[in-house]
Amino acid sequence: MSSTDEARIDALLSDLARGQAGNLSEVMRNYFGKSTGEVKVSSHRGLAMISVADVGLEPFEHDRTLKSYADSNHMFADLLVPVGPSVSVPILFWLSLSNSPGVSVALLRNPKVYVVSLGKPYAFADVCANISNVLGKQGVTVKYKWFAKTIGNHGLDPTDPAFRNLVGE
Amino acid sequence: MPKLKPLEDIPDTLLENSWSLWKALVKYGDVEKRERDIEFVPAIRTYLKLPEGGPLERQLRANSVSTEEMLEAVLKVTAPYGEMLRDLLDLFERASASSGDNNLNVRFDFNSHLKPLTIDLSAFRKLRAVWQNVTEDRLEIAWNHDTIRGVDHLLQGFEGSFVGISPPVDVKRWLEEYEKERRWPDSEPAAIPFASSRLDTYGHELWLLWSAIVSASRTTGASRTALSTARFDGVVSDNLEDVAGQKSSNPLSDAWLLRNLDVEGWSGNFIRHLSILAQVSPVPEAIERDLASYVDNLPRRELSVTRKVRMLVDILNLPIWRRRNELYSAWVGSRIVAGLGADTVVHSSAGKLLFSFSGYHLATSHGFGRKSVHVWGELRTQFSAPKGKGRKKAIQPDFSLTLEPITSPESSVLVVEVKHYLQPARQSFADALEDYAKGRCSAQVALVDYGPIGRGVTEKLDKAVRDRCQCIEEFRPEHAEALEQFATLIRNVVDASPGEFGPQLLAPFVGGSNPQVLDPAGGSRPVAEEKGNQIGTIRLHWSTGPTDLDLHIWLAHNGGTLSHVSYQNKEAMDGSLAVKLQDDCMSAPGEEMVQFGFVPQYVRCAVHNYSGQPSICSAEAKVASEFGGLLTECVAPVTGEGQWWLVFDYWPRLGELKVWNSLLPTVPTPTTEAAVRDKKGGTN
Repeated sequence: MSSTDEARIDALLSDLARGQAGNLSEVMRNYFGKSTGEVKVSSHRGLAMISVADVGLEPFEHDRTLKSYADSNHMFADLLVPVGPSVSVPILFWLSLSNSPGVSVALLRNPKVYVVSLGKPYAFADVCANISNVLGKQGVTVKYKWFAKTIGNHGLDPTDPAFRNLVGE
Repeated sequence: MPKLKPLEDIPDTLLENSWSLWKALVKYGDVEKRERDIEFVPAIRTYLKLPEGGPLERQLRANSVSTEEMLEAVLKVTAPYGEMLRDLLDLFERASASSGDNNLNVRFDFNSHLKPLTIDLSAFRKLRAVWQNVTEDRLEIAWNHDTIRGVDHLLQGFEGSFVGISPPVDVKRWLEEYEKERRWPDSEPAAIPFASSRLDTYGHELWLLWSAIVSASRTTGASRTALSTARFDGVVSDNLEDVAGQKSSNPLSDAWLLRNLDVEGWSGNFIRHLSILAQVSPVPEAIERDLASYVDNLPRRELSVTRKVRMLVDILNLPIWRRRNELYSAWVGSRIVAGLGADTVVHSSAGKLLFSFSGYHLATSHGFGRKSVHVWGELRTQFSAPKGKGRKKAIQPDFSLTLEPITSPESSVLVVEVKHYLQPARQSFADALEDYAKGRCSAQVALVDYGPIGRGVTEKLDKAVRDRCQCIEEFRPEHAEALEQFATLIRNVVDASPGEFGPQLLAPFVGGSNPQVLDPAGGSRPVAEEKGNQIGTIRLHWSTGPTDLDLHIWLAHNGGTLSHVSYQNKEAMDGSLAVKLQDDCMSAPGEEMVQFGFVPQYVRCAVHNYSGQPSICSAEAKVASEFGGLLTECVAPVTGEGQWWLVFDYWPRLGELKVWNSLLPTVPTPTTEAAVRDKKGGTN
């Protein structure tokens, strides 16, 4: 990760922490109000995988509390860290017990960031499809045969267009 | 993700406040605030402590009632129907158990303006479960793709332990269509109860999941290939608040998820595994533990207001909700069956349990010794002069509890008329009670109403029948007092030891060749024949106990004239011939005798305990009668309550004797129809 990337992430998180970032800050202020007043930000894994979580929860890569599948989320780091320099809009994974179950994505305009909200429980298929979608919107595609196999192991069809930006056409 | 729209979506803006919510219920839930659902408005006002009068919307706004408070009020006023569903489900399960058909169809066919409604037991169970979730603030399992598939993997893992067990026939039939024809069958196999009660709870939860997935999948099209068009559309919201808020994420409305499940035939695999597991008994402890642990650890969530409203709207849109009158009537039937006890069989025929205006045999109770008590719905019997509007020469109460023969109006022991009125219609209620009491001259008559009745109904009744009639108001699941009153009534009417109550129809006595003595238990023994100079006599004798017993004889003669002979009117004449009471004895031991100078068409014999105390049971009383060589002797019951001892009915010209030998609070005056019968048993 370049120093420029780090600086952008720091600036983004700083905006979030100060609560001066438009819609997201508003939501996060609400969030702070609801929780113990703190959120935990994960170690940076590049612009494609920033993680914010309730205190007491692990960041997305290490989460074991909210996800409903057995496999580790390290596999998503394997997918996303390499494409960090390629994304124009950072991707922030937001884990909270107060999020609705499942996965939802919002695009925030100021600062411009995709927020992937993860609530208990979230499913493997939904995480993959949403990441694929967010990458696709930025013209980014990763093609890993091993990930196609992983998708198949989860009882899903790797050729499903929903996953096209993770496994290729 | 693409959303399925099984029902019209409610815009979120309509859930922002209570008055919008009310509008949404009226619009989307098909609530008819001025007609069918008129009861809602005053009930909601009462619950929210709003003043009467004026549009509800305006009051809600003026009082700043929140959406949550309004929803709670709506759920509160509809809650009785949820309880009724529970009782009805018990009734249907009993019918299902006795029929051997685990997916019984229940058919409502009362209203000539509406098509008959048929609902199967599975759908009814689902309805009940959804209602529970909405009204009881239960946490629902937050299923998603992983957990839905995970539980199937778990069941699949158990399969190896149960080699040789195949799914039940209806599941096989379903699988055939699902797998070979690749379509969603129109009807689902019924839920299979698990042998273990603990596992049954989990099994039921899983069956509901399966059923919900299948129902949701079917909405995309009858063919499974219809799901293959579902795509992940990757909706990205512009506003994080939408995402952070309580936007529902219901997997059942996610066609993409349903499609992914169906890619690997989830629905088929799941029902196969579940139906096999359900048949295993006993279930190995490890399997029970694993399944319980998996389901217990599934994430759960509270139902959001939005989701509750949507579920409520779904329920309000169901055809069965629109026919709440019938639902209520059927529920009263379920209370009758419950009151009759465990030995009651609920009848179904050809896989159908019928509630029909044309009459239906709902249940039979065998819990009363040799007697069978039949519960009939809409049993129609002749009655010459009904008072009630719309009744012409016949009566048809909602429920009749009747002994045998059921075709005889005199066999009815309890008649229940059901009203679903918000405001009492006292004259109409009184007319119904009087008609039924007179048309079913041996029966107690109850009118039960969903709403209040107040005073004054029974006062409008003919004195001759008043004692046999009663009203039970606000008869609803949450009114324990009304339920107890009803249960007590049923118990008092039929919960007696054998022989205490009800006719014991013996073979007709056609001549004097087989004289009998009848004891309280209904047994008989021959006695010496004795003949007198009269055409017939009825003699009452008592040894002890009450000082004053009175013999009462009702008779029909001279083409239908009804007379009553007793100490008050000692003689009935037919031309120059008389039926006459000899003496009015007022001390024990005592004897009274009626002599017959002519042969009447009909005789009813009863004894009244004029002294009141002690009971007739302690009097060692017996009635001996002799007609044309036929000698009978009845001994009074030794247990029971009531100032009257109804002894027998006798049709001398037909040679038919019906021995009642029962203690009762009153003895009904016979009707001409019952008294004057032709050889075929019909009326003259």
